[in-house]
Amino acid sequence: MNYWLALEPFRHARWELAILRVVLALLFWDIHTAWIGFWREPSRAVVQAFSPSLRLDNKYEAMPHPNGVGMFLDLTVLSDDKVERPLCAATGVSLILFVLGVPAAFSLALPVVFGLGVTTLINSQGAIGHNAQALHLVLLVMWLAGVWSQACRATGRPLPHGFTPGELGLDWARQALMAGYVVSGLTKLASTDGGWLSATRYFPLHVMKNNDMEFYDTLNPAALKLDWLPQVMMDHPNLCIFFFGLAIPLELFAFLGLRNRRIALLFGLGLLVFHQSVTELTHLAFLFHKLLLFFLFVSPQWWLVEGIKKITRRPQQPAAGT
Amino acid sequence: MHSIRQLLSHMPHRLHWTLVVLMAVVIPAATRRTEKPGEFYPFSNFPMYSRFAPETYYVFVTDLKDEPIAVGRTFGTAISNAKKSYDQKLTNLKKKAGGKGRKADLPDEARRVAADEVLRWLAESAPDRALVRTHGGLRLHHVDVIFKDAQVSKHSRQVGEIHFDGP
Repeated sequence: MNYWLALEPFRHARWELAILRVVLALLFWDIHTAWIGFWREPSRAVVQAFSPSLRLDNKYEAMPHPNGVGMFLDLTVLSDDKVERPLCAATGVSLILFVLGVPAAFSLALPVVFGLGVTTLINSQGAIGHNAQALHLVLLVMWLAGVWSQACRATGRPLPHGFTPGELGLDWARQALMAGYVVSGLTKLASTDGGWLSATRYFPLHVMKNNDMEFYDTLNPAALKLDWLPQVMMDHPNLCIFFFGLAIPLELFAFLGLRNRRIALLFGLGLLVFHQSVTELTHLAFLFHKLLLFFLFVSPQWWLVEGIKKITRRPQQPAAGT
Repeated sequence: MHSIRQLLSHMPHRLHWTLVVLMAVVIPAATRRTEKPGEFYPFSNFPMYSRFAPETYYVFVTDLKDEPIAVGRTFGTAISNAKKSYDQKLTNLKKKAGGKGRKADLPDEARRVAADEVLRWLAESAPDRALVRTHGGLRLHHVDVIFKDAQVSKHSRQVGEIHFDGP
């Protein structure tokens, strides 16, 4: 049991920090370009990501349902092209500096303020979108970790577990991501007085609703290819209960995935499989969640290098003459 | 007090648990009287799929000939956002009417107010407003999806309609 639950802070070599900075910067950049929507067409995704003319242009002139800091601040100025365009360009430069290793306290400050500001403005139109929420939480805590690292440096205090500032940022990113899952699990139990699992028999209704909505969003008839599934699920309600019965412990105990790389792999894969299953059923992409789980928890880059190291490590030869 | 502090100082992943308490307890309590309790972007108590009711609904948009319009590429927002916005407006109208009864029982006139507001919002925030205006107007349709006697049924009705003056 100790093998799985031992508390082993994640160490990142420079090469891994560099890879993760590139991945995270590209994800943060999506907030202003929506390039990730074209992930199935890589060349189009690249064009979308790096063409200034294709950047998202917010047109919101009011905040009829203010949310977050929008309850105290008028953020409509962020959809004024004279403000939006230069801030967007400066955010791109900041993210390049982040990739190049400039401390997060400085390089992520503008992406946090502008990214959160724009998304809060969008979320103040009457609909709260949750798809980028985890990404923004990660962005916010990585910047806070950068600020904390600078404060520790100024006061001569060491970082926890002997982390480098880059490792601390990723550690906080993982903690924030898993906090979302634990809270989601708790909300499910709290809002149904513990009866959430039995209510999942109505899930097929939502499959049907989401399939229809996907069709009306895109007018792509492929969205209706699973039209037959809701009735099958309704005929076999225990299927839903079994499926979600596996998911709720994954959410509630997601914090265990923070303890070491082995159990992180387990929870990362488990949550990825769950997300993908829900995507297949409901067309909800969860792309940011999946990519964050993939790179921060499953960490194929780390396992690959560790595997190669193990294979290439020469067995010690006995000394001659002994 | 000393032992609690000692316990906390030895607790691993304190940021994680601070965020859990913040998002599951503090923010829901602090925002309980707002339109979206539990939501303070980017913090959320993630209410999606926390309840599965035996009835739900969705909306879709058509032109004045009832031909469906692809919401995502036309209006630059997902259809789920149009639905959430419409639902929020119904909630507000229900509150204005005293908060009694279900949203599903709101009169057609109230639905029309909410639906027309959503259509105007979609048209005004579209990336290409001129293209949207070529439709001459927009309609919002509301589809109830109901589970009864182990069967699902769908009922669709038009709830809103706006017209564009001039080109």
